[in-house]
Amino acid sequence: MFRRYQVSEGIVIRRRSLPSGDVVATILSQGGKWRGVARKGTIPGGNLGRLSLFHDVTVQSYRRHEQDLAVLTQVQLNGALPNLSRPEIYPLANLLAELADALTVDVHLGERIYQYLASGLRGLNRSSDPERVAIVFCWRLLQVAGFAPRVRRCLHCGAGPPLPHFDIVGGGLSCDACRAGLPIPAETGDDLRILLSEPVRIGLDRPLSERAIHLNLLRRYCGYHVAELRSLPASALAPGGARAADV
Amino acid sequence: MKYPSALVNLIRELGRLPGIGPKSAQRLAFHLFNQPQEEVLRLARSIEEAVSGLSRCLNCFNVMSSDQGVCSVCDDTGRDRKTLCVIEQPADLLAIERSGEYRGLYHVLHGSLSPMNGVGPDQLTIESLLERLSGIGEVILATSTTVEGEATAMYLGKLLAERGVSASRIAYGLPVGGDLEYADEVTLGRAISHRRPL
Ligand SMILES: [Zn+2]
Ligand SMILES: [Zn+2]
Repeated sequence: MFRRYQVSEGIVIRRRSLPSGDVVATILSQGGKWRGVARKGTIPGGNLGRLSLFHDVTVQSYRRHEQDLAVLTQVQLNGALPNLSRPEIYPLANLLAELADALTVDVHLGERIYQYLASGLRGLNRSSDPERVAIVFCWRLLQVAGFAPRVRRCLHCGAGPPLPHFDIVGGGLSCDACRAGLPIPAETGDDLRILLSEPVRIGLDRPLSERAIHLNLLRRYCGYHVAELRSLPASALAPGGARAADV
Repeated sequence: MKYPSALVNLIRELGRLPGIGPKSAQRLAFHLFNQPQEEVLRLARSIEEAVSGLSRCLNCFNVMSSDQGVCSVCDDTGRDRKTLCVIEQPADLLAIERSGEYRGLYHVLHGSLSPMNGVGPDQLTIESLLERLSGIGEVILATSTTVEGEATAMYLGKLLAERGVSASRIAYGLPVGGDLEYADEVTLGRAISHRRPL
């Protein structure tokens, strides 16, 4: 049912200031993605100024007609994540938000994407190894959106591990006999299997030691199956981060 | 009925302006059409003059008239040339000038870091900032207090530290005349961590 006033919780995944002083925010909620405008949202100190990028907010919004852009009238910030601005974390927060945005183009996947993005951003805020958090949550986001690569058996012949090749186009691992795709270290194949089948905390305990390979696989996989992610080269160049070397 | 192509073009160009949707663009186009021709042509001329007559200061990237060598701030010999204040937009320069608290020079970044929008260090004037550092005693990072502005300041802070240049971040405070209980937790948290002795 259409309601003129609505209160909802969500994460600000994009935020754009207009010359008028208004702010247009894209918010990912449990029910899906939507956009709203905060009139004069750029004024510091006002409650609309709390519409911080990557933050979980509760907003009251108003629409006169169902197809109108929602006008945000009240914003409450649900916990600050101050570390997301740090140079080694900011590009990774961009990456998770951009991926979540790309995965919700015209579908209402809602709840699970929202929850993984929220956990991922909170994880980035407190982790001593934000790059690992980003890799784990990128694959999880892809998975809940139905884009997970097949990693348990060879994509082409069904053989079990070892599966030392990653077939980007086919969307999964392949065995040594089929040899489809990029060769990857055995450890990276194990990482992917665990990241995509075990609970998140087990993935987060893996060292994911081949970072450049992980980031490069993510970049190529997303580029082919979802969208070119503009934050991905940047995240691979974050100070202290591994470069996305070619596998 | 189809609109004449001149009108369609006008609506399309107006619609490219930030914050102007298709409906507003159409309203503006009809508004312009209904104005006395002389007034509309004056607007068109001032747009043309601004485009050809304005450029960026080669020193600080502030806006200036194209016939100047450097902007009026850089040209002012009475200013403190050992202090640089880094800001996102020329409009921020005007705001700081109005405060009357600053007498140094500026550096306009023309944006803030935003990897998901393709804005990295190379899209801002960071390289030129690093080339301006000789003889500079302090760089004040006055990018906005949004997550994006904060990330840009922290990134620059790291680059400046690597070069041994002293950098400071504008203080976060509570708005004058506000009640603590209405302050958001980010502002309040920063105000507490950056408190100063009385
Ligand atoms: Zn096979
Ligand atoms: Zn100048």
